[in-house]
Amino acid sequence: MQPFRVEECPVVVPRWEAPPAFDDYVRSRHAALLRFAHVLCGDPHLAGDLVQDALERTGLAWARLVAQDDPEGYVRRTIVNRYLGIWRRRRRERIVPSPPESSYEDVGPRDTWLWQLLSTLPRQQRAVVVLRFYEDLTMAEIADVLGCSLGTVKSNSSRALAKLRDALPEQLNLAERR
Amino acid sequence: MSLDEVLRAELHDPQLALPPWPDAVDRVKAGIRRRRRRRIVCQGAGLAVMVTIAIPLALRATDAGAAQSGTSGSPTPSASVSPTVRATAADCGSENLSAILMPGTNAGEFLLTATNTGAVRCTLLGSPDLITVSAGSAQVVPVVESPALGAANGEMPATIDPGEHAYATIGTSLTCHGGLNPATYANVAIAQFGAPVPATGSTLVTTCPVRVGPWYRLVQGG
Repeated sequence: MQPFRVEECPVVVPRWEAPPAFDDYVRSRHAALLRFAHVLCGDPHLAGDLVQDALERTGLAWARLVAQDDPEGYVRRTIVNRYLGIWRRRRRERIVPSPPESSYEDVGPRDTWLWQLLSTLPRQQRAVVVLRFYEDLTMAEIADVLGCSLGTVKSNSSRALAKLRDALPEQLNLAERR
Repeated sequence: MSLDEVLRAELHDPQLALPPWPDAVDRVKAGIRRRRRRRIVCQGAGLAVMVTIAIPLALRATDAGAAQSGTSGSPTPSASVSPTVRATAADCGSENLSAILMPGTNAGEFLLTATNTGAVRCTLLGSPDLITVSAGSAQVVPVVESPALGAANGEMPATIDPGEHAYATIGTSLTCHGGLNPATYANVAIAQFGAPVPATGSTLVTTCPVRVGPWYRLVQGG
């Protein structure tokens, strides 16, 4: 065989440089994405990891996503899917029967009882609730984000709301007593 | 307040906002670079496994098949030689060909070997058209024909007997576009013979258009 030479192949991996538009996107959107991820998973540290992971994947696929005109949808889908994937591998949040002793100021979000109630929902039901009431997506849009059928979304939504509704009066009474 | 309103109020509570990252862009960029390094290392490891294990096994299988048909069957071009110049025969068809894509001796170099698995002599004309096949869909690999590529000692067009091999040299490079966003072509197949002929073996990774040389048959002494 007659050897041939193609151009020298660089051994060092070329340094990746983000397009300026991607820098702007990260700068302007990461705070909103952090908040979305926090509402979704209920854990600020995990929210940071989810957003970091999603933005890295978005950066790698930036040219394609810009061509499809859908970077925001991709990031949010990635956050949701990674959240569901992580919780598939881990045990669900462990709910203790009574909250630890702490002052009211330490609790963080207002209406902590509802926040805790949300954390008792199975992850997919919680994702449906967040996408519906935080993102204001329609059932069809939620099905698209989660990659499942419309029927699955409807049943998850119905079960989640039923569970919350059952617990709500008791919690409201407790809140009123406080 | 209805449950819907309570939920909306809770989820839109400003206290749920997390502090923004002061170094958001640098942080994400650093993560992307780590990912790219990891990905390239994994691809390199996969290629190394392919070269050290899969290719020798595939070649051994090819040798065994050729030995059964009583012809010279080494996949290395230097062993498949013939002192005569052959007249062109009927075009080879996909049903009578198998192919393998192996790394060459230089970086970015690959050798595409087509073997005549039929019962009659046939001819491979021109240069191979390449496609990649994934999940039932095919995508054309952009190629640039390089007539002189790897054919200095070969006879063109390549007319091969049953069990013999024809070769085409493939050149890839990461020097274009600053080496950014390389295209990866896995599951390469040859598309010029009617139905695609899968070229098992290597994956092409390149930022430049893939260079393809013409089909040739090795002849002794050039």
